[in-house]
Amino acid sequence: MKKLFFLLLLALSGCATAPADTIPLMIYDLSDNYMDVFRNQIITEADGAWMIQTYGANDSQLVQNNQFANILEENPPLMIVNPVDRLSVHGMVQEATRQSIPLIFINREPLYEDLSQSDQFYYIGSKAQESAELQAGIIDQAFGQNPEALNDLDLNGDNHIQTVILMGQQGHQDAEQRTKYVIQTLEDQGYQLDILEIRVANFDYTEAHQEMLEAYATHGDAIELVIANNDAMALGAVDALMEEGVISAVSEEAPHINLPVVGIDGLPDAVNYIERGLLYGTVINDSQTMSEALIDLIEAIQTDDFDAFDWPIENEHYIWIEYRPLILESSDISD
Amino acid sequence: MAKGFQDISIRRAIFLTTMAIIVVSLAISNVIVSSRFSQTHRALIEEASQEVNQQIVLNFENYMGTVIDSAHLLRLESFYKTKEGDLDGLLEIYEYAVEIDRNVTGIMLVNLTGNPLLSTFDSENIRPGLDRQPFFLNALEDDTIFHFTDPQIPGHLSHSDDEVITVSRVVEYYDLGERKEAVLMLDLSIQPFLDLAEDINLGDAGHILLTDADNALIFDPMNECESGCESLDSIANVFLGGAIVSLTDAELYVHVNTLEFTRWKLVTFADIGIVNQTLQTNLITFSLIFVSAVLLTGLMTAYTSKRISDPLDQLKEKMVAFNSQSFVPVHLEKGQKEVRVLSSAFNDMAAEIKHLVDRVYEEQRAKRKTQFQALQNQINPHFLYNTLESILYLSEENKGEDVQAMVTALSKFFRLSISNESGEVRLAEELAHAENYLVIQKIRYRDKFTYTLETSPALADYSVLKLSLQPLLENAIHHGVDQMDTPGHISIKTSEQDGYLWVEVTNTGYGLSEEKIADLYTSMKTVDDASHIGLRNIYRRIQLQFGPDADVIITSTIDQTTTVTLKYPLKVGKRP
Repeated sequence: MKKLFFLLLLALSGCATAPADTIPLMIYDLSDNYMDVFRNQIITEADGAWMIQTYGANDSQLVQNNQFANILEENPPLMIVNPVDRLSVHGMVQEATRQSIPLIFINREPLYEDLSQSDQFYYIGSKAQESAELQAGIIDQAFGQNPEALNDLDLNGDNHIQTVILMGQQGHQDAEQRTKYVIQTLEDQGYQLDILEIRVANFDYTEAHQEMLEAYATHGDAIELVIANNDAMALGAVDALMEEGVISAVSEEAPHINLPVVGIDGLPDAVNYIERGLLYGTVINDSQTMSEALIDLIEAIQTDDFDAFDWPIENEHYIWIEYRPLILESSDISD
Repeated sequence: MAKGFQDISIRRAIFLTTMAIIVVSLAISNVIVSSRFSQTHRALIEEASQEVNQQIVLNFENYMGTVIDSAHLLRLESFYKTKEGDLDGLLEIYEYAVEIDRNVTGIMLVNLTGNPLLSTFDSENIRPGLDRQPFFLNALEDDTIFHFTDPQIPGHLSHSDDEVITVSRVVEYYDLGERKEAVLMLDLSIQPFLDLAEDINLGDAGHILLTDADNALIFDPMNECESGCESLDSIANVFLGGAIVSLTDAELYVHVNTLEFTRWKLVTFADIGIVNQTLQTNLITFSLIFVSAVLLTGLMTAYTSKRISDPLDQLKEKMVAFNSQSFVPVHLEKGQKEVRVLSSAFNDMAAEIKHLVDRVYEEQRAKRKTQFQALQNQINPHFLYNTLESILYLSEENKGEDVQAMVTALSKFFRLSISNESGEVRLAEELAHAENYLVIQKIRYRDKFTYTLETSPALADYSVLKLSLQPLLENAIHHGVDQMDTPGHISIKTSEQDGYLWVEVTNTGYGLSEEKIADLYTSMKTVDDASHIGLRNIYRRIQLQFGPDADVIITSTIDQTTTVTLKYPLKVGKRP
């Protein structure tokens, strides 16, 4: 009788805890191309050692907060978080601090005051400023590396570059930083940019496609350069300009691109467009290397042994992965 | 089963067992049902409260989103227009923004030294030293985001009584063609926040709070925290998600969420009093069901067990009180079938016992009566008188030896007759008795007959009916040899055959006809026949003492012999 009762209680109270080798990976939006590639690289790198359980937040911090609270109840060994809103990270950080759960942030950098709440919090990513500087370098190369005398891509020959900028979400750190520093770097080098439009396309291909069509309708062939905060928007712009007949694949008869579009991220499609001479260049946001660093970091945190962890940790919380520029003429294609 | 359990009455056992089963099963099912119920209920509360919270957050974010969008627009315009050197155009845009959104009370661009560059405020209203204002310091702290101040009377204005939230951020602008940084700020009326809070239905004690990233209060639209903030203290350890908190006057489900674009948290407190009330009502209902079920079962079990055990108790008392004298049949009007069958069987058994006891009593009485009769026969005064006559005669004839033999035989005869109360005697003794009798009668009848006695020591110890031979010998002399003119012969033979002991008394004489023998049998077996008392007495005694197998058999050959045979089942008698 007692035994029966005990079994009954056991059955009633039955609750499951997540296995120790399952690691939650919280992505701000699974429909983001770049994050989809990144996620697959993480899963591939983790293969064998860790089970990666992915959660998509549909670009809603509310959904992500909710997921986070639910996952915390299962007491995971650690969590990988790609936050929806970098400003809203404080809630997750405080809860994780209270329960001593290590957090590794990726792709969107939290504020330092949040990241420094616990020595078990890390950010793996690249410096947005660096990507902008490299993007500026690609543009510099495109226009002949001499701000005093631009090459024939300065279509009207006024030695100014008439520019359209496709921006990510307003308030998004990458969007802000990339926009700010690409302009700043070019101006610091002596280029004179005429910013025709800064259009917000939310890092999205379709929106960028639409925005580009509208910008072209307004400015037509006056546009000499398109800077996009990411590859998805760059590809949308290229496709829009192809529809307008402005851009076509390079050939022996027309070996040069006449309207350079530059992106950031290094998506496979972007690489493909570069090889075909449609997209001038991109900056590879090296998610493959980040994935490798991420898995090494998980290992180090779990074993509490950082001796074998060779990635430099800056300021106790940051692991910076360098961007790499990619253009058609560059030998980086085969890298 | 425990020994203790066997020692309690059926009534109690039935009652206790049934009650135990009912109480345990009801208790278990109640616990399961109510725990499932409260779990489901709790899940529902959490879900509902979370949804309300998310809805509120969405409403706030929606509003903040429009504010941020305007702010971004202003920021871009500040960049473009100053680059073009069109400050008037920019001011127009600022003023237009204030005009179309009545919640934006003012917009100002402040350079990094704290001097206003462009402003929609009355210039006399602006206080100097803007670089010490919170909005300015916040903006410089992190130049990548928009900052929001707490609701406050604006410190940057000389006369303003309305609380505002100031949004600020570092922006770029061109000062005479040179790119510089400045702080863009917007004053927001708190009215939209109050409006948003007003529409919220979180129950009687429900309310919302806005806190900063460290859970410090920044906005209390429902004035919950005017006198100390209990609800704020209650969420000291809740940074995200839901929890149940108890305040002095209410139990609340708190849900904490972040607000996009800001570093704020929106905390909803939903009054779950009504849910708890439902839970309590359920608990009371469950308890009532439990108590009434237990009571009802108790009553019914008590009734049933009483119905079963009462007749049994009655029966038990009757059985205990039962004896042959005072047996009164049990009449049970109530009671289950088994108990009624039992009592009727008991009645049958008691009646049977009573019948048997009565029969035994009757038999004993009859036995005593016949024994007494037999004894009476022995001490027949005629026999004594005749014998004494004979002794007198013998002594006159000087036949001393015969006198001696006769007196000895007589003395032995009487001693055997009166000794031993029981109706049984060893064959050897009965034969000795018969021989004493024959000795006396032979002398008395002056050798009118001879006799022989055949027996075997092996048979000596078998039991036979006491005083059974003497009446037969008396008949043999009286109706047999004495009727003849010639001397007769009497023989006694004993044998064991077919598992029986046979004792035959044969006398010579006229014999008996078949009819006479049949007559004798009839008379012998009829209870109240006055004739043939001796034979009938033997027959009844032998049957009473030795059972139905014992018998008296009469055979005869006309003009020759008559034989009366006593048939006994083999039974070893006690030696004296």
